[in-house]
Amino acid sequence: MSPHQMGLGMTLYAELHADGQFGEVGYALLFDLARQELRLFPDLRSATADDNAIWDYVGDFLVERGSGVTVMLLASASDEEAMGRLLRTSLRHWLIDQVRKTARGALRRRLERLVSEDDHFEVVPDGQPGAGRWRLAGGNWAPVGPSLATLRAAAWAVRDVRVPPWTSHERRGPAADEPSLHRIMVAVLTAAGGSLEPATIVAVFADRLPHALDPAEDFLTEDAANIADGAEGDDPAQVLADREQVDQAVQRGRDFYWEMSADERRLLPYLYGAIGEQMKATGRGKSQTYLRVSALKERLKALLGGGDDKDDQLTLDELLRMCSASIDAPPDSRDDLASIPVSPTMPATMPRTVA
Amino acid sequence: MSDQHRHVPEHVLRAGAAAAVSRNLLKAVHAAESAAAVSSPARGQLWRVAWDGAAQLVVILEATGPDAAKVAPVTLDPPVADAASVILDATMTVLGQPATVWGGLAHTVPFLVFDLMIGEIDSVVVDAVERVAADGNPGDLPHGMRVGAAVESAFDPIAEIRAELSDEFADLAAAAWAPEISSEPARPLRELLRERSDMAELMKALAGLLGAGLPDVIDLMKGMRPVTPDQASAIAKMTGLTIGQVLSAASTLPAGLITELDHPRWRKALQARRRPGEPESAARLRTAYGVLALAARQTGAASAPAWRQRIHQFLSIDPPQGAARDRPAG
Repeated sequence: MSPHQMGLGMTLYAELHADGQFGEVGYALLFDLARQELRLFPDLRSATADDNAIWDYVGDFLVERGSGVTVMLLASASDEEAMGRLLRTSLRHWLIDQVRKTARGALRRRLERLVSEDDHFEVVPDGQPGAGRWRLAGGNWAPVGPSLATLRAAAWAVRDVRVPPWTSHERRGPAADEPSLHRIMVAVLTAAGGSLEPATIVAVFADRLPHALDPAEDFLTEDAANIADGAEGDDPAQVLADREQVDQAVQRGRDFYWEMSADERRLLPYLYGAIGEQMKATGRGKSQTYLRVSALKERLKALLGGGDDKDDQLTLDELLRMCSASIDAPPDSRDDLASIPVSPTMPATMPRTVA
Repeated sequence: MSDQHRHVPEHVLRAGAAAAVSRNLLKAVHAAESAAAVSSPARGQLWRVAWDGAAQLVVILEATGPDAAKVAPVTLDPPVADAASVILDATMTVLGQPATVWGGLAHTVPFLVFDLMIGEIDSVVVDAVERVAADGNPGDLPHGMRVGAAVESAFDPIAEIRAELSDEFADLAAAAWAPEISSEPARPLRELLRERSDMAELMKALAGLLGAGLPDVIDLMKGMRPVTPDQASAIAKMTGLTIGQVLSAASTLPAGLITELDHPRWRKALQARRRPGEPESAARLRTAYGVLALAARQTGAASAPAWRQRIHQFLSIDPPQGAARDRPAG
C-alpha cells in the first residue's frame, strides 16, 4: 500500500474513476512526484526548496498537459501502481520540455550576441526582404527556406567543436567556445545561401550542440568529481605535475566529458560492445539503447573528425578513463537507472574508428 | 508523503478541474469495466493493454490469429508524433482529446495483454493509419486527421519518446506465462517414485512439508500442479530426486487451454486471483493447472475437454483467494 493510500484511505485510481479528475490524493501525489523529479534537473532544482514553487510547477503541468494526462491515466492504467508510473513519466517528459525551453532561450541569446558582435554576420535591416532574419554580412542575401536536413548536415560537418573548460557541477556548461560557434554559423548560413529565421538557426544549433539542451544531467557525487579530476588522494604535488603534463588532446577529452550526460558516461565504455552490454549500461530497452549509441557515436565523430590520430586516441582514452571511473561512483538518486558495474570485457583503449 | 493533508492552492485546483475527463469517457470506461461479455479483439477496436507493469492504449489493425493481434500504440501525452503516425482530433475517438496513433510502431501482441476495450475507431481512420505507416503517403486523409513531422535527428526529443514506446511494445509482444512446451512427455512424481514402498507415508510427509492438504499432494504426484523452485528443492531433498526432475514432473499444459485462458474474457477473473505481491503469470499458472486437474478428475486425461466450460467451472467452484483448495502446495 502506498503512503497515499495509507494517509488518505483513497487512491488516485479511485479518484479518477469516481470523478474523472484529480482529488486530494492525486494532488498530493503530483506534488511529491514534482518535488522528486525537479531534483533531477539542475536548472530547476532551486524550485524544490519552496512548496509554493513546486505547486506552481504542478499547476503549470496541469494547465499545459492536464487534459491529455487525466484521459491517459483513466484509459491506460489498470491499477494504482501503473497510474503512478504513468504520471511520473508524463511529469518527467514535461519537465524535460521545460528545461529545453529554458536552455533554448539561453542558446538563442548567445547566438544573438554572436550575430550582433561578430562582423561576419548581420541581422537583415528593416525595409529589406526578410527583415529580422540572420545572414552572412555584406552579401545582400535573400530570404531562403532550405530543408532542416541540409542545414543540419552543414552544422555537423564542422569538426573539433570546443567547449570552454567548465568547473561547476551545478550548472550547465557553455554551448561551445566563440570560434566554434562562429564556424558553425558560417557553415549553416553558407549552406543556406541566404538569410534564415533566427528560430531555424537556433534549432540547428540545438541539434548540433545537444549537450547545451540536454536536461538529463544527473548530479555528480563529490567522489566521482574528484576521481574525474584526477585528485584521487595521491601526492598533491604529483597530481599537479600530472595535470601540467596533460596535453591539449587529453584536455579536450575532459572538456567533452563534462558535456556528457550521465547516460552517455555509463554507455561509453560499452559503445563498441554487444547490444546486451549496452542495454545493461543504459538500463533501457533495445530501441532506446540503439538511439543513445547512435547519438553518442555521432557526437564523438564530430568531436574527433579528421584530426591527428594520436591526439584522438589520447582524447578517447581519457574519456574512457573518466567514464569508467564515474560508473564506479555510488548510484545517483534516479531510481529507474541501474547501478552499472565496470565490464570485465571493457577495452583497454577505445577503437580509433568512430563508425 | 510528508504532509498528508497538504493545502492545495486555488490555481492548482482550477487547473485540475479544467483537466477533468469528459463524462462520455468516464461512462465508457465504467461500462467497459462492468461489461458482462468481453468481445474478441478485432480491427478498429481501442483497447488498454497491460502486462507486467507496462500499460498502454492501442488500436487493433488486425487480429492475426486465435491468440494474437497486430496493434498500433495510441498516446495522448506528450503531444508528439512522427511522420509514420497520425494525429486524431479530439472528436474522432471516445477519448475526447487529440491522440497520436503510431502506425510505424505496430507490433503483434498476444491476446493475454488485452485488458479493457474502451471503444472503437472508424475503419476509414484505421485504413489511413496503415497507409501513412506503409509509405508515408497520406493521400486524402479523413477530416480531423493529420500526419506528424519527420524526425531527422537522434537528438530530437520525439526520437526518445518513440524509442521508449518501441521498447515497451517489444516487451508486450514477448509477454508469456505458460512454460515452454517440451517435446518430451512429462514424468509425474508418481511415476518417478513408483519403486517406493512407503508412498502413503511420503505423501503425508509432503503434505506437512508443503503445508497442503492431501488432495493437493495427489494433484502434485499426478503432475497436475506446478511447483515453485523453492518447493522443488524441498521435495527433492525429501524424495531423493533431483530438482530438475521435480520441476519437470508437472504435466505440459495443453495449447488449447493456454489459448483459451489468454482470451480477454478471463482477464478480470484471473487478475482477481492474484495474491498480494505476485505477478499475474503466477495466478494464470495456478489456475491453468487447477483446470487441468479438474478436467483429468472428471473425464480422464485422454479426453479432449471444452476448455472454456472447464475454466468457467473451475473458477465457479474455486474461490479467488485465501481458500484452502487454491492454496499453493507450499
